[in-house]
Amino acid sequence: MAPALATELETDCLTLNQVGVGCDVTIRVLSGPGCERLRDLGLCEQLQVRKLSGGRNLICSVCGTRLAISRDLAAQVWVEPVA
Amino acid sequence: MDTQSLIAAGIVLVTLVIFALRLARRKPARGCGHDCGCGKK
Amino acid sequence: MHALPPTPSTIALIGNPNAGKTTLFNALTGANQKVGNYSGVTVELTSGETFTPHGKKLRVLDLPGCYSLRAPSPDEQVAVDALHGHLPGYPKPDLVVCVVDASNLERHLQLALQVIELQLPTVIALNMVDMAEKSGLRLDPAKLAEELGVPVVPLQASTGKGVIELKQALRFPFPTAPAALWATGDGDLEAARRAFIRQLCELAARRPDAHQLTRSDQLDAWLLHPVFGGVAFLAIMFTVFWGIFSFAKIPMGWIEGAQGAVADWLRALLAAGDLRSLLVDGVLGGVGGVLVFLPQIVLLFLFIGLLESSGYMARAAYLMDGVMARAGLSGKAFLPLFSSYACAIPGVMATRTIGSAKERLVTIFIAPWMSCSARLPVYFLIIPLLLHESEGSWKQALVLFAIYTLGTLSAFAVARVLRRRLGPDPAAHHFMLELPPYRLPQWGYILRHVLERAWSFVAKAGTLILGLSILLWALSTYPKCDGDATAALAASAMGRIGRVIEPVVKPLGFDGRVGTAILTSFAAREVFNSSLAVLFRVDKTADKKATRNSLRERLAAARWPDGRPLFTPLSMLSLLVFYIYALQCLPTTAVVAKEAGSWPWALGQFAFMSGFAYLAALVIFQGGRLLGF
Repeated sequence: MAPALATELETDCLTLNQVGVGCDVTIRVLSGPGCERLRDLGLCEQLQVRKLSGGRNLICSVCGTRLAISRDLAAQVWVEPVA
Repeated sequence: MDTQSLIAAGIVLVTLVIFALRLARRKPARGCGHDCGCGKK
Repeated sequence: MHALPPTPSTIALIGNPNAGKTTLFNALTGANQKVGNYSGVTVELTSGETFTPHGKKLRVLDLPGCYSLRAPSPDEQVAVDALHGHLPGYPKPDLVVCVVDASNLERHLQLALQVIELQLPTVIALNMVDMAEKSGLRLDPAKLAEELGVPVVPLQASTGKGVIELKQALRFPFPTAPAALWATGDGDLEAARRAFIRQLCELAARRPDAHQLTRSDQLDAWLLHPVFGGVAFLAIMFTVFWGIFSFAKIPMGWIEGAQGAVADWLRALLAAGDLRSLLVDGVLGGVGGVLVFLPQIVLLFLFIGLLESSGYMARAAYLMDGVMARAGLSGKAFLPLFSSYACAIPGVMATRTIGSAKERLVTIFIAPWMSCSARLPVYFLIIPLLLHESEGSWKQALVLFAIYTLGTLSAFAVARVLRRRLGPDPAAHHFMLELPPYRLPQWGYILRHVLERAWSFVAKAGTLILGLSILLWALSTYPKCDGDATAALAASAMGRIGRVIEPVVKPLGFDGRVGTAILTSFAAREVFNSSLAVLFRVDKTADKKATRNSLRERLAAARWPDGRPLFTPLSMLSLLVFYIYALQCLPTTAVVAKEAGSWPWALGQFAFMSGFAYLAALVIFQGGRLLGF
């Protein structure tokens, strides 16, 4: 793992898959082959996200928009719960 | 041949000619044929 | 000496999918391009013209929706190429109007900044301001313009508000290409861009609460529920079929009545003879046999328009993703396949939104098995023969639903096999989809589109089908011979073709006449009805009383030479199955060749589908006979 990623993940980080439904989280890091495409879609670091539903394809709310992404993509999004 | 048969045969011939002309002109086939009825221009 | 008129400047409309580019394009050019509430509607470039308030003519290009200019999918690549002037036939744009959704600036500005980095004159169209303000967003367009260094015009394209101001911003000379204020020499450009957007939104687009639960969310709690959502989906689809069947009955009766009245008038006007036969049996019967299904066509497109504009289509794609995965496809393939239910040609073109080249190829291959609207006249002719409406129109709707389901499931099965044979993708592609908010149907817009499709249908009937009906009449009349109607038909060209074809189609349960009708329907599926009308016409000598027998009644009475009924339930099933699978549309094959990039692929598709149709009908008929039906 790149050193930058490792330090980011020192804190209590989960992937978007692992957080519960209805949780408000902030995106800390995107890492993986699909992350460029995720950023294009609008899921960037430091954005607030609410997970609306889980499963095979997740639905999350970002900046007022509802986005559906696959489980594989969600596994590349590391988030931190909003205090 | 009576008048009716003559006119009918005439209509058929005209139709054939129109079709032949359209087929000849359709050689440069574009993506969507205009008469496919799907409404997309 | 007159100065040559200057070539009009070109402006390009770019933006995220769903930002409202096409609505703006329609508002600017007065065009009527298709707008749907899901991404992937515009997959090719459309061009139109508009005039500035100063009377200057401008060429406007509507580009497909784009999330980013980097590593795009095939439809996004069109947009990128257009911006760089790499599209043959289109010059590099002189100005770019970047359409952004005011409620989504954090996401949409990404593309805007990339466009500004290209150093083209840029104007930002801040669209859907009404919706943004209603949701509590506080916008400051002046501040945005100041920070970005480009003009920002707030508008609501769907009502036309702000369009005049946009045109004024397009005054000549165009504002000079801006410098990208965030692109400081060192550091990661992407990160700098994102940081800039974040600051900008803090300043000029304050959002009250990031995640209010909207009415759309409440609807989605049900419609996207893993169990209830699927049930709702099937229920909606079935209701659409049932609606098409039941609501069409009354208008159909009117059309049939009118057809009968004209036939009576012609019979009174003209003595028995060739011209009367041509007009009554050929033209009226042939064209009428297709036109009578106009109500069904109107209803089909009305329902499709309602589903598309409400925003439900994106939900359907989400729900179907799991099912499609088993076919080796993704939810992205759902929208092109759904479009194919109307007509495979726009459906095949819509596959440009699919990132994976292999998945795209497979989707293109199976698209014709989504029963297109051209098959409706055939289905609606045969189904009432199979099941009289006194048995319940919901049963007829069920048969239609079963037909569509059979086509769809077979398509998925073939897709699965084909996908596996093509092998895995070099790069992984993941499902991601934007779910736009639900919208009330925009009736004016939907009705205009339904009318457009209805007109297309009528125009096709009045031109291609008219011509083919005349030729079919000629084939069934010449060469002439003396004798009664049956002998005359047998001696005609059509009769001869029928005799040749009969051995080929008899194993499927069809006689020479039906076989000939099938052959002619390769020119256009609807012509099947016209051919049957010509081939099964009423005896000329029995015209004493007004024989208003509809085509359906004549078919029900049709017999084999030995007296057996021709259209038995089994043979009708076999016929329906044939039409589900047969690919009988040359324009589709041409588009497939273009989109797939190879004629062998398109011809292979034609050969496969024709062979499959024959075999399937054979299996149904012979299998049914073996089972004792």
